[in-house]
Amino acid sequence: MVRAGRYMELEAKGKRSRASSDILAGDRLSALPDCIIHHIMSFMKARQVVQTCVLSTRWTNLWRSVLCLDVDEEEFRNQGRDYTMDEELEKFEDFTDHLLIPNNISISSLDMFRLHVTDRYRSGKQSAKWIRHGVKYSTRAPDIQVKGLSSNSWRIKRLHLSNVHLDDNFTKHVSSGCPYLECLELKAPAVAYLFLALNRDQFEVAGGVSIDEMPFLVKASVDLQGILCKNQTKLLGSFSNVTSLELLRFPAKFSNSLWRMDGMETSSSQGLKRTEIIYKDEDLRQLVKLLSSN
Amino acid sequence: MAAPESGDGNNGAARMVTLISSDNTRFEVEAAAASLSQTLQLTILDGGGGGGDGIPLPNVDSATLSKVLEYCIKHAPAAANGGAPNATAVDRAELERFDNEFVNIDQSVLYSLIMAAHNLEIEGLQSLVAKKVADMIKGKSPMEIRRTLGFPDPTPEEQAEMNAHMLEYGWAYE
Repeated sequence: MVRAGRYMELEAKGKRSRASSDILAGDRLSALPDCIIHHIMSFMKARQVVQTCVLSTRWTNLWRSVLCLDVDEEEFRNQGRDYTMDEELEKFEDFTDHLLIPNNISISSLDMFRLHVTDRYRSGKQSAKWIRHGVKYSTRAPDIQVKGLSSNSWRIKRLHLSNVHLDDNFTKHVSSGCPYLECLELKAPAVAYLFLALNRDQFEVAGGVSIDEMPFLVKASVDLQGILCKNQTKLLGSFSNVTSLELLRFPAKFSNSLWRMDGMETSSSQGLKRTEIIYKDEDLRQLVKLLSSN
Repeated sequence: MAAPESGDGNNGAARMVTLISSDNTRFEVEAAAASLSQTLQLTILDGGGGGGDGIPLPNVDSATLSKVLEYCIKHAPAAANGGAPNATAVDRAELERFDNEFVNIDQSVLYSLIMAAHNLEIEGLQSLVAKKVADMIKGKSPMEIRRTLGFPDPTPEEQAEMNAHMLEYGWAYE
């Protein structure tokens, strides 16, 4: 009898623990602290992050307090139904509009924000607006109080924008509003890591893109796309603080024209001497010329 | 003030430290591997964990700790190289293969692991598991996620709540 009793007890215990590992996996996930769930969410795209709100009451508002957000137009492609491209883009726009109202997520409270749109999203006007509003409303959202930082500046450290159409206001807002920015990635056609890659039109916004008001920016990468215009050299001239500057697709006549451009001849040359330049192009001679003339 | 004795005597041999899990199992491991944990690194730099002392880890059970240490031992050489700029493509591919297999485990173990990695501040392991869990969620509908992640089937009330939610957040669904 004793034996049987002990046996049953063991079996019951075994059953209980098996059952708990089977059924409660979701509960175990839910039991993790917010910061771990947010870390998991940082590997997901924005729409999927929001969709987790229906998992259980524990998840209802978790998405609102993420620190990394990855909004990707491609997440809205081929959703299994026969949406036209316009419908997909409309859904993307609608989603992002809703997502970025201050009651949901304020870009200003994020550490990292990535906004990726592709060439399909030509109208693109919205994307710059989302960023501008993020800056504009960061001071007005009463719920968002970041300790130790002034309320009128973003805490954002990494900003990645792909194919985003930049208008005149963009530069002004971002450079004056993001004192903590360490990494600015702006890319037009797809390239690799930490990029500033803008086409001619995008460069010819008033004043061009200049980053000299971002003292913490240390890494930058520029895709010159084989062209050179005045605003690009002005941009390069503003990289006096970066320690790693990556230059891609140099125009063939880069070094000839470079030194006649106003922006490059200013204080920047000194800064650039301390800069590590990573050069990814076939024509190495251009780099040699650039370095020797510096 | 005498220098810590452990480690000084055995020239050449790697310094070992002892970690004690919540269920009192002792693990002896190279200090370099244990130092992948930011939390342990401080104690170890202070000379702790050697000899008969051991570092108690009241939040980590032995099953989880042995898994954590498996990761640390594998990643210690690369970490010692400062993120392994010298590592060959073969080494990196081998680590990647190890990582992929390493997280191919029961979900409840994953959650114990990520919790331990968080407590011990092992950055690489935290990200590895977080990414694995994110990958299990990717591309699935809420119902599929519930099933995959082992959430209990919703009660009728919960289902009604879910539907209301999906209506409210229609902009995030189709």
